[in-house]
Amino acid sequence: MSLHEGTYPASRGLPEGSRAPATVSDEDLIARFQEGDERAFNELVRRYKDPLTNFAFRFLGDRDECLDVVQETFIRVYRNKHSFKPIARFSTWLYTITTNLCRSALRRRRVRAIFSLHRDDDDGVRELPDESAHTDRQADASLKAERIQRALLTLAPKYREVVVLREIEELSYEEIAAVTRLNIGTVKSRINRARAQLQEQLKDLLDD
Amino acid sequence: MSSPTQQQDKEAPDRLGRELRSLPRVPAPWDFEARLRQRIWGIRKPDRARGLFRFPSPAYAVPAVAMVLLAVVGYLQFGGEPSVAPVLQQQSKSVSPGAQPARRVPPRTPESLRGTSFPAGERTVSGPSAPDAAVRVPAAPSRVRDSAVVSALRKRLADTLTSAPTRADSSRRRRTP
Repeated sequence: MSLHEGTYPASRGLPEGSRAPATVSDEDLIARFQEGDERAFNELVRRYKDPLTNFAFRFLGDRDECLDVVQETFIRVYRNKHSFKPIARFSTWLYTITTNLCRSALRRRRVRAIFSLHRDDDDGVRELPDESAHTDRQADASLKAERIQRALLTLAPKYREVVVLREIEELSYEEIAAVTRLNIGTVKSRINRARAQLQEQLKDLLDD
Repeated sequence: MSSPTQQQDKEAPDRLGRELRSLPRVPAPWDFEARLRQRIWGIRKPDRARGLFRFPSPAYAVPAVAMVLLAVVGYLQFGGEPSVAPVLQQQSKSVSPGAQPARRVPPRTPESLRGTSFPAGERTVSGPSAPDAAVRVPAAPSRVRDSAVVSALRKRLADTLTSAPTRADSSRRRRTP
């Protein structure tokens, strides 16, 4: 396994002086990985581990679960590298896998909730403790973030996934439509509904 | 000219979008790639096992090489003394020089005694390929039973001999009408 074994050169084949950071596109990297270059996979992991973790955490609200999902995403990319076709963007493919895994995790959680004797009242909302939050301002920001996260988790998953992809991960409508396999009209209407619900819940916060 | 309420309604989504975008990013943990590496290693291991031969993992190979080295060093230090078997072989040669080494094995059944002059407890098997040539195998626990059988056979033989007519008797009978 060559994960961590050196960094992938940003632009292979170019002279030393003309190398620019991140000039190799994701699609080139996955193509090289399909040819057997594992350093390309390492580079993709480095590029996407943080965005996917953030997305999965905002979607699921549980740190451990989101890490499992992201790990599983990369495992699936590793196993099924040849199922990626260059007609789509790599990021879309990656977010599609993550979204599907998040949906499965939510289904499993629902089943667990049905069969378990006691349920968590906070619906798995566990914001990470921020050690640097010493000042009041930082504490306020942390509380606000927690409040927004709670509001997000009250949304139905079908609204939550599109609003997180749009507002937090800043994907385009087209990309969201590709990830969720919905048409753009449905994506827009779901985003509007999600926004309306969030505004209703966070009215006092937004009015400040 | 829009009213303040309408303006507020327009600003609200922007404000919400800003708040959502300003949420702190949740990064992957520092050991994310190490954990992923472990899991991918677990996937790749069965693939490697498919071939006829696979190189051992360094975790196994290093102790194995160390053990071999220790064995070699131990042999070189203490392995110069002659072993016991050649000494015994020499002893047996000195007892019967020129004779082929004989291997003695315990008898298995009483039938093994038929037609042989070996003692009841032991019999010997001669052969050039007997490596444990002079090793005398102790008599088996069935020795007592074998001697009982031998004594019974002897007794029967003696009875037969005493009761059977002699040649002279038989010739005498033939002559008499």
